Amino acid sequence: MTGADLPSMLPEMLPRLWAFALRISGNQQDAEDLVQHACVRGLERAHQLQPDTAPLSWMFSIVHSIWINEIRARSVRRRNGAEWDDELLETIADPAAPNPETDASIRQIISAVEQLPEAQRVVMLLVAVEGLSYSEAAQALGVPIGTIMSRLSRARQAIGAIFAATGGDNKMRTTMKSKDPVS
Amino acid sequence: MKMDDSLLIAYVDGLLPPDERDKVEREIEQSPEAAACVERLYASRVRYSYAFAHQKLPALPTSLVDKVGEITRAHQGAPPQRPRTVARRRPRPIPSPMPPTARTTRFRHATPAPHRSYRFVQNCASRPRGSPSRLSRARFSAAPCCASDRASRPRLAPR
Repeated sequence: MTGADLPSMLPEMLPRLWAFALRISGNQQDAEDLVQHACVRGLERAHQLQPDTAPLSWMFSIVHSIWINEIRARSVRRRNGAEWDDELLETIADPAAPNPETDASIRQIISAVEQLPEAQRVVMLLVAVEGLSYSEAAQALGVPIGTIMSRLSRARQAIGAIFAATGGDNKMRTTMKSKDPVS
Repeated sequence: MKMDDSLLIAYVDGLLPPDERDKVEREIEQSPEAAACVERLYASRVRYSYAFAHQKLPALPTSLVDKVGEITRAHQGAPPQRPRTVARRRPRPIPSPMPPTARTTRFRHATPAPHRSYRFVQNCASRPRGSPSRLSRARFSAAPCCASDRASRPRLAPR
């Protein structure tokens, strides 16, 4: 897989880039701009894509870095500014969710992740939601893998503290032997 | 000894080989701090991707799909695949700066040139609002004959 393949891969990546952009920006207009800019930058720099880098995590890294620079440029704090659209990402579960009990659990999980500090939340989105490996997440965020582990540990402890306090939901718990424990 | 974050996460996720697992368990027995940490990590073992897969998000806009299609075709040097309602203009190289009316996004900095790297935020801060971006130029060059674009676009400055 090389940068030359990127143009043909972008359409397939779009739904995931869109969801990621929505989740980090919390705003549909920003998410649209973000994906558009990331695609332009990705294509411009496609020659820099290394064969051992997953194109999707590479694109996530571009989306993230554009967003970080954008919020710095705007000098707004996430969710404190007028840009955050609370209704947009209201944690409404899919009507096709299996049952109301599961629906409540889904809301609880999403809400727990949303409450995390930004640096931890992005790591959770990349690792636990998007399924990136620790090293891919480190690459995507441009930080050492130890930083990813430390943020992940703090994020999961914070979430665990919420679930332990509320009793959590055993139905949404993964089993000990699961190969894919937190996703 | 303070246990490594990755070791404790791997432990609760059941990803450690037996010898490492025993080592962690010995540590947990001796350290209330490690035991509490492991408790919280256990409680955090929930199905995140399942939950987020059920999160209701706005659908991927078709306008975005179209824009990315244009960008990709422009990058590949292919002509835009839009129905033409006007005669094709004489092709030009990369157009000169876009006027404010033709901006397509709210992002002020757009995509920086590679040599500018991370300094572009400062650069953009000093750039007047609505001045050209690489992105708008890219979009522009992707659809030079689009009637709607023409309508909103003043004449290009001579190169």
